Amino acid sequence: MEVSASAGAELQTTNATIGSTVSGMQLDSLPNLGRDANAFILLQPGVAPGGQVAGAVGDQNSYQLDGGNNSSDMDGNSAVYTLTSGTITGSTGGTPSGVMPTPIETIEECKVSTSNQTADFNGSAGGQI
Amino acid sequence: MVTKRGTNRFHGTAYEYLLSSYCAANLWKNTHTPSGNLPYTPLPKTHQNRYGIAVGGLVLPKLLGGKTYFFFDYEARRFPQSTTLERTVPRALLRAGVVQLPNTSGVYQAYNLNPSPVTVKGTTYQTGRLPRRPVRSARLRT
Repeated sequence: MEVSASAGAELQTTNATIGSTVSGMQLDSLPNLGRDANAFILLQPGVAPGGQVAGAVGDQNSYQLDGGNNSSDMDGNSAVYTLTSGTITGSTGGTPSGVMPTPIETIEECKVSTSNQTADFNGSAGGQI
Repeated sequence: MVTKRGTNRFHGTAYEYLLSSYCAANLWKNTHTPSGNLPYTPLPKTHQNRYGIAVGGLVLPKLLGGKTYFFFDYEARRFPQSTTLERTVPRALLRAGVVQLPNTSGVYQAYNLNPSPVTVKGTTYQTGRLPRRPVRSARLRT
């Protein structure tokens, strides 16, 4: 039998990426106007309501879906943030998003990194989703 | 972002998300300010339905050894892409071809420019002619 103990809170020391993972129950139950997983970009630290991540403009975000590129080559984003239900735009209800729609019911896990990206995900100046 | 996968057990979801004016509140101002012949401004009707089904599970477990999975999702969104617009439109009288111009004392007089009498809202207007020299400040009533 092996017993291991760790003192205090465990600190992740392998990289300095800021951001978090949204998965499972959180995806299903957090309020989401467009019912699209990209809405959770806006909940991350350093993200403005228009999808601007840590000061970079909104079209500098990179979107990946199952490891493939999902960013729009034309404009980077496909929607603008909308505050009232009267002017819903795009398939995501106004949330910055990739090209393929990603309804929350089809998404297992969504990871957003806002700054200090690791080399394997660093595709652009903005956030990596 | 990672999509869902099928697993060893069949699992599915059916969902519906409704955004409707039936469950929405009107503005405070709209519920207190008269509009036309209504004591308030009604909320414009809007309904948005987003619904779908998702199924995941095994593909031919006996034949493929239970290690091949599938996941399927269908989602649809039905919504009216409409907005509320306000436009100035002719009154029923003008649409029927009856022009109203003020006389010298500023009272609007109706002139039916049709070759035959017309009836609008119960009043029949006989064929008439515009006065030869309308009042200078004449303004067409729209």
